[in-house]
Amino acid sequence: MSLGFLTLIVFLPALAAVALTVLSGRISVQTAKVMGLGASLLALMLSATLPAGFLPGAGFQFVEEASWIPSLGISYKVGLDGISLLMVLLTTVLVPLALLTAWGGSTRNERGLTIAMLFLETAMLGVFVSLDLFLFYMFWEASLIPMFFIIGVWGGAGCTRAAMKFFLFTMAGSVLMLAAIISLALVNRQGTGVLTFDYTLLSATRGAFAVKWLFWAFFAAFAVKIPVLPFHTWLPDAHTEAPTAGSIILAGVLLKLGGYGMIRFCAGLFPTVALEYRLPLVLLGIAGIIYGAMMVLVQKDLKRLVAFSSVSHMGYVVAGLGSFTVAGMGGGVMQMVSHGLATGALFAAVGILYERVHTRELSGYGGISRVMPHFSWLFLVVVLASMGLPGTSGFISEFMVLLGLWKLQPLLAALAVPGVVLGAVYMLMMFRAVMQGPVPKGLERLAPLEGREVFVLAVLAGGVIIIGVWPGPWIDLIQGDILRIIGGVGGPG
Amino acid sequence: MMPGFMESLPAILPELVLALGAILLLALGVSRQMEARFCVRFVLIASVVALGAMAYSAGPIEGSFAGIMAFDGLASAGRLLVLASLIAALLLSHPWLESAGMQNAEYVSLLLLSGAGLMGVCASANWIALLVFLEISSISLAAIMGMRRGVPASREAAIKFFILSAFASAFIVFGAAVLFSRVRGFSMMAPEYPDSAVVTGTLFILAGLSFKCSLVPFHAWAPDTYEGGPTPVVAFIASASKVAGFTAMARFLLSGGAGSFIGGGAVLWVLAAMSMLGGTILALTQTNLKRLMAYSGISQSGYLLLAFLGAAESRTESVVTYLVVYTAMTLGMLAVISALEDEGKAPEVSSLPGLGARHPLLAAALGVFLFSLTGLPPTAGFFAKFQVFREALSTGYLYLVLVAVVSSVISAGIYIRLLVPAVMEGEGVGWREFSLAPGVAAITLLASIILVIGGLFPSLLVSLSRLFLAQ
Repeated sequence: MSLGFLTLIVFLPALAAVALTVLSGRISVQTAKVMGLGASLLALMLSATLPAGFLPGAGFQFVEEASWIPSLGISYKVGLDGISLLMVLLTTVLVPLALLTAWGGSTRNERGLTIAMLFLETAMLGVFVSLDLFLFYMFWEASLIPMFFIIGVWGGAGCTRAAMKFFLFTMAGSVLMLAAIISLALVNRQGTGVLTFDYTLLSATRGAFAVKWLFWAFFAAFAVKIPVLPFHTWLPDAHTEAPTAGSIILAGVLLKLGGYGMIRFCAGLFPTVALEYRLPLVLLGIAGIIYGAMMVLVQKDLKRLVAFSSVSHMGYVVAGLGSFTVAGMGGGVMQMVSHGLATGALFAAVGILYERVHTRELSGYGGISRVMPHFSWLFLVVVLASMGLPGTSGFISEFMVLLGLWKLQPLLAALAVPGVVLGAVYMLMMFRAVMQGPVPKGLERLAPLEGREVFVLAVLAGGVIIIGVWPGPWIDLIQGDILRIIGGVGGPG
Repeated sequence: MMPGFMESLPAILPELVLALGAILLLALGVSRQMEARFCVRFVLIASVVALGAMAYSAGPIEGSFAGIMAFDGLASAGRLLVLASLIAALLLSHPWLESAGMQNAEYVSLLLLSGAGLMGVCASANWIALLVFLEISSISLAAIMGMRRGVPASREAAIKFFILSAFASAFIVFGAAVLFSRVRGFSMMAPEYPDSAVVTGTLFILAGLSFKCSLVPFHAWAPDTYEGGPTPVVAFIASASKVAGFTAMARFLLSGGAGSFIGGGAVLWVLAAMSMLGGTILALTQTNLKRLMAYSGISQSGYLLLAFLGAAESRTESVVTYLVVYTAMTLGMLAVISALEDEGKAPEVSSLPGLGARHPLLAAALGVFLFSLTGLPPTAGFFAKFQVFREALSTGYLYLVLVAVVSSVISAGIYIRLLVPAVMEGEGVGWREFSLAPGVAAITLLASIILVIGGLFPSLLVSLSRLFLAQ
């Protein structure tokens, strides 16, 4: 089949970004913002029609293929399975919301930010739908460039340093992956006689080339992105210094690139190696959960606090995916979605506070619930969702991960459980510090919530609750694909 | 049947056009001081005529000039890149000549001559021919380097370049002589002959060519020459001289002749690893942009060597692809640097802040060049790097590729260190207002278009290389 619907969704934002760049002198900033938001909403609407034609568990669908570099066996090939579909939806939902958070007029060069966000959206969508390893790597690396600028140009005081750190860390992981991708294709050629970078062809002969270092080279790239302890040190800086819109996308989608890569490539291409090393992987994940949570407890900066909570939450993803059990991997994927929505909402809420109070210091806050009562209710929902309270998506995913760990080895689940408790502790501590207690001087009157701010928080909180009370269809969407990845290798249930 | 001298002549028409143009301009310049604009236009016309001559004489001519020249696909690729660099250098020279107060006619005619010489190097198939062409270019380039007599750095650049070029030639002469003692001929593609004398000769020749390609440990001339030389000439040396060096190296090592045993040997491994790591590590502490480009060029040469180690059926193609991309990146970078240059003083990293605010398009182009040098998609630099990685991995040079990976990561830090101030910081103390010269604008625009289109549609680059090599 030639190019079509999926390609349109992926490249729509980039086309809009190019148009905005070309038209930059001729249209007002307001028009540019509306156009940018319109393009991202159009991408959302188009992607929202995808589930209608999607058959859960039936492998890759909406596959489109076009010749690209035929001499090297590289083609432009995209397609969706349930896991990619969820990630695509997460992306198309979060980008317009992130653009909305930057709407307030306090952002400088809003036109540039819109353009960067749209380019970033195309790169991220591209990663999730690529079925050719070369194409995947192109999108993967290309996502670095706009994010680097978003942090460095629109970020806070120490943003250039944070942008460089982000760039160098992720770059270090991914160049190694490039060598691994090429080696994988070459090893496969030795076995089959065909040079190809096609994911479906490579995964069809998987196991035949279970070269361990390839697995770890892929894992290195994803470990930096997720991030796995001890490669997480870029994350607090990047999250803290990025503008609100950037933080939402960074936490909401960019970290998921790592998790997605881990399940799609590490587990999908090297299932035997993944099975062999699941214990160390799970332990890495658990270490992230506990370490991240403990780091949160001592943070004094609101954004840094949320950033470290991301490290902890992404630890569940690593542990779940690493467990190589159906429940654990399903939980890992659900945790990616849940964390994307909940932490996106947390960053949006922190951004709302920052725009009014102009400090990220926790000590500068207090008693906001009396100044902004409506906001405090929304904030509470977001905090509870982050804690993984029953009825929110976080509960479903953390439960599934723990179930997976239990099936692997009950002791592992016991090791991870304190993370859940700590999660509740730090989230409630943050809520108390911000919302309760005496109101500091100067905060007696704050601007009330704007409609767009309520909308952003409501959509994200709504998503968290919908998945929380009605998880069935989402899990069904990915169950078949996870079985296919595990299948044939024989991990326990 | 071998063509006679007259039948061979059309093939070398481009070089002849350039050389005759140079001599004509020199003769005119004796009687009166020429205006910069006239000189540049004259020479541009000569280059375009030479380009036309290349198109006219395209096609293989077997055994021209009794076999001492080879006008094959590899030669066409190299000569075209040299010619493109020459045109770019001339465009960059125009504003520079007007401000620097040099002998215009001499300057541009020497540049033309060196262009003719380097094009000849690309087409040489015989050590003697190669040496003649090499000397034509080296002597002319050394003379231009030292033209700014009042500037000590300029003299230093000229002397270093001249002495080390002489060294390079001496190495090649000696190597060729040793080879001659066994194979009884000066052909660069002499048949393989496992013998200690052949090995010795080959190693000496390789060392000589490594000077031209600025490979570690034969790189020492590059930083000082880059820093002290006139920026347009540096742009020319960085691109054309290296293209010619690598073309000659490819002819020697990849054609199945006496040098072939080195292709795939430990010598290239060591040269590549040392160049990649040495170039990037030494670039880390540089603050002078031209010096930094010298070290960056050294590491780029190292990456290029990876392609030499690849599989026989595709490595030449990858070499050509890398050279095309390398030329575009280098010319683009040096065009930006020449725009930043303040009356012949080499710009520092501190002159970058403010570029994004004052010249957003130039800063965007700088971004493309830097991302391409880093090897980041969607720029052609990524595909070039992908190709050389693939070549080396396909023959099992995993550890060398890991060295390249480490070097790539370090180099990302170097390039990003330039991009951050250029794009993210406002005007600093080092900022100097300038208006964009049309030449700079043209080169940066063209180079960034090539790099982006080539990055998005790499098959174009592959087809281009094949088009050349199919000749």
